Amino acid sequence: MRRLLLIATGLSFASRFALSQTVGETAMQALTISIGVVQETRRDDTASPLMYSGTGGGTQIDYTWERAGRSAYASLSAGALTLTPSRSVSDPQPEETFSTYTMETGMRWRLPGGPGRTNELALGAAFGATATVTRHMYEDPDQSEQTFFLGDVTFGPTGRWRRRLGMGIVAATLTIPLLAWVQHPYADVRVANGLANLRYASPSQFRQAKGELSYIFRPEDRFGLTAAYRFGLLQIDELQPLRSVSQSLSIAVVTRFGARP
Amino acid sequence: MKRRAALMLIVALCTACGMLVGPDPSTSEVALFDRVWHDLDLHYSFFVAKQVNWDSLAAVYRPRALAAQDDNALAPILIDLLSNLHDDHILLGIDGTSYSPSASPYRDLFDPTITFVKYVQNIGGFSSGLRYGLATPTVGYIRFQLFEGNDLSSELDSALAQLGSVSALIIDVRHNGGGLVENATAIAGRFAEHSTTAAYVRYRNGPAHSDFTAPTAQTVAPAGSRHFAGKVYVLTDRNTYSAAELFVLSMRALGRTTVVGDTTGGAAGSPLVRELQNGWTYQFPESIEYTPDGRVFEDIGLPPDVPVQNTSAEINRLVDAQLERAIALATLNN
Repeated sequence: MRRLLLIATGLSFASRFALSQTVGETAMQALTISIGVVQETRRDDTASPLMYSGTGGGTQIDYTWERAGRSAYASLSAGALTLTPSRSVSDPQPEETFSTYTMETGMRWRLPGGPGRTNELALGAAFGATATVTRHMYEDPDQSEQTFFLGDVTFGPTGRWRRRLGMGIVAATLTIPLLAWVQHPYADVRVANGLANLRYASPSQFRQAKGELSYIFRPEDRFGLTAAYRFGLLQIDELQPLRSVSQSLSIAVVTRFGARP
Repeated sequence: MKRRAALMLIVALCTACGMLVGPDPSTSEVALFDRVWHDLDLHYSFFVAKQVNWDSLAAVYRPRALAAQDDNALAPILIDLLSNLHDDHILLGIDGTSYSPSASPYRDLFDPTITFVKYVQNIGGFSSGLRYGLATPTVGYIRFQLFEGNDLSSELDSALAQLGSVSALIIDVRHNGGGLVENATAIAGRFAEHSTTAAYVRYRNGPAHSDFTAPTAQTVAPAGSRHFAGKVYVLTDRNTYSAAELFVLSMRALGRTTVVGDTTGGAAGSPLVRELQNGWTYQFPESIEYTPDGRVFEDIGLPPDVPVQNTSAEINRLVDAQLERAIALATLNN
């Protein structure tokens, strides 16, 4: 029932979005390119019982479109990190090289109150996809290496709060997928080759939250800067569970075209 | 002040990440035992084929793990537990040393030094374990000590270039413990004229001991810059294992190969490696490999077309009967 309601809400929002194209207003658009530091802490039971954590670099490209309280966005991001066990278990330590790729797109509608309000709240729906590849280097006598994969496709509600602060705008977003399809192979990718299936994961199996806190400097300018802190929580409860927490700090350059706030 | 606050915030966030992911599992002896037992329960591929009652082994060995005072006391218990599987692919890695709980007795009826002293005029060799030469002016000889390394295929191309005039080739994989499956099929590809199925593999994919993927074909296809179209004689013995057995299957599937020597070891497939929360590692097979006609050869091995066994007495007299037979066959069929 909840699934049906969500899909109906999404379709309703989509139709309203399409209708809004006829309104003669100029849209605000922005292209943002971020680079930053990414930190990941995770335990994937398919690879190891140990918690691995580490840092690396990441980049993200965002496109946003906004008109008359409606906004659409799309983002692509990639990160590469080196993870080590959270505590020393051998010398040298086992190590993971961790790559992550995400895509997210969504639409949000500003809640009644208009742009003049101090606090602006918008709600909508987001569709996301993530793929991570973990090359786990074991400290066994053969220095073995195995590759593990995790993929998910999600759909769920997203919200955004923002308000003016000083010369810029502070914004916070939160996305909580309620529908998820997961590819978390039983073992390393050799098995994945024989198990290439994306399966539905119920909310009791798959829990995820993604958020962002950002500050947009001088949003009226054609070019500007944005600083952002992002986090992601993921829990997959199955025979070989996975838990991960990721966070990043980034700085971005923004190009704006169309209307300005 | 602001910098200190930012630093404290980062430390707090990282700590929070660890709390959200949860603590690492206990490193108590019984927790380590349970981890190994559970991992094999979920992934080991030969419980059914070897008719092993894994639950009953836990009933025997877990009380011993409970009584173990430290890791040193646990190690022999784990080795004893794993030895019940009689599997050459099971290894326990402790502080950089590898222990094989159930290795087959090593039958040392092959001495590679005899080859180049008595039978083959050495032409070249590379650090990765490939060595080659001429057994007669028309019969080449290539020995693969292992199928490890990233350059093995290209080194074979160089060897084939230098052995260009020979009409028959002996490929020696005796005492070859295996290596990368990709190497085995890529090397066989130098002798392939068309793509063909060499073997099938099924992987464990669920908690029941009989949960496996559908068979996936392992194919051998033409590969590399050099191609050898003559007769090939592959030498095997009881210490030909793992990827080397896939190589034997691949060469046999090509149709121009005669296998000479002894039955192979019968330990196919590439193992899964796992680690314990105290840093130990262990590996075990997660798949079952089948011959093209669907037979399991684990613990059985692949029989040769021309059986020849070396004896200790012959080896002591610097006689390699297996190689002599291969040279004779290659010369006869030239």
